[in-house]
Amino acid sequence: MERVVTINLNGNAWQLDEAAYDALRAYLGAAEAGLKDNPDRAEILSDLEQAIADKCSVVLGPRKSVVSAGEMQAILKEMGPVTDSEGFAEGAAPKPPVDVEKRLYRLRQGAWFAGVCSGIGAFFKIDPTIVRVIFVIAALITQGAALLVYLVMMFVVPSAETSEEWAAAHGLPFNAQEIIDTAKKRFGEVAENQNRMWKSAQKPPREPKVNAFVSPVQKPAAGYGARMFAGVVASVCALAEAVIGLGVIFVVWSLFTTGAVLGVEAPDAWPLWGVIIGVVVASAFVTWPLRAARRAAFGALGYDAAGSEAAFSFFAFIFTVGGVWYAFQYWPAARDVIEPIWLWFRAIIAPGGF
Amino acid sequence: MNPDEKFAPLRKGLLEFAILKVISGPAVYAADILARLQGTDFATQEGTLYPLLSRLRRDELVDYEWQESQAGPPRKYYRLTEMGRAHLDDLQAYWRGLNQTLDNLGTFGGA
Repeated sequence: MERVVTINLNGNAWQLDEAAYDALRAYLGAAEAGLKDNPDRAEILSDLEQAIADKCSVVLGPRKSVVSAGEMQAILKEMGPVTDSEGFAEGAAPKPPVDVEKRLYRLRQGAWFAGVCSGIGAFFKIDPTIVRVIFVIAALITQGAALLVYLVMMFVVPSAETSEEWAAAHGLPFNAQEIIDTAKKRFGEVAENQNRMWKSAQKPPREPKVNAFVSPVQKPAAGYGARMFAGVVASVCALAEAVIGLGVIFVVWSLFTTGAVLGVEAPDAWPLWGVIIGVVVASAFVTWPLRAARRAAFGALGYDAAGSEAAFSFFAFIFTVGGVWYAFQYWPAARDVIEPIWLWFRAIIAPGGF
Repeated sequence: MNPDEKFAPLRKGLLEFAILKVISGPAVYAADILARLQGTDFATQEGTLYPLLSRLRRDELVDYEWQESQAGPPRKYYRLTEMGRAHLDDLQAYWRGLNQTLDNLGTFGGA
């Protein structure tokens, strides 16, 4: 789902998708900045708007009412950078389009899962399907290690939430950082100019994005570095919590079946249930700061409390299943512990055996 | 360095001349000017043309009048003013002079 912005270009209403709107805003902002000292600035801008409007009307038809980002970029490329004729007469060469700094983002638009493959595809300019196929093959070859890489990236790589981030993820030459920066700088000024198009640009509040696994992102996210850090903290805390959770289950099970944990006997003075309650309470104390840090980190990533819990449950589940499976495969001591649990579990759910 | 690169600044300087020349014919609007220059060495874009047209008008070399169009809003049709026509004649005379000089250089007895 994409949001559509209705704008007024020289008295006519046009519908643009959000990225197209941002591109146009950047272009007109840069134009306005470039013509700062020109006495005919208003008139030239109005001519430019009319020319853009004419080009939009060519793109649209009876069955198509919204100008897409790609179309807008083609139109603006055709328009060319706005050069003030005074500077022009002095032979100032128009600057070639600057390549933006490309950054790896997750792209949730068109994502199958968390958008890692879409982001990688955009970064290397290859079809995300190819990336997905490579990932699946890598997962099979490495016996699942590639899936762990995916999980880590899912938390460490920030998702592209704004059009600028989206452009940075694709490294689009037109949305050059420079133009965006100029537009941003000028935007305050432009917004005050009540006679211009901004007045009629109606921007509804951001709609929450819904992802199948992670709940709505509520507030705009922090910067790239901060979000990466928050992703690391969130995943490390979640991992630690999951490990502690597993540990508690193991300890309780071990006490229950053998009355000892890894050869250490429970104190005789305590009843078994008292020891178990003690273990649970102790683990709650240990996980409390972890949970607080994890919630704060998810908060910085834009999740609310419920979203943080949902993301954690999912994460913990994957890590539990993955961790147990890896331990079973590669760690004989863990295998000795896991195997009887598995046999016990199997005896309960399928007494006759599989 | 090929001639195309070498003469880039020259072409830029001559763009105003080229545009005045296009406007010297029947009245044209911006898209006509761009279409006329398209495919020539003076091909340009709206981002360059509009500021240049506005300066030419400020210098009173060209003027425009609004004309209704069948498709969409009225358009500005540009034509040369008396001053513009005189200026264009000057430019043409100067350009011919330059060409003549260049042609004659290197030949004996030339100017």
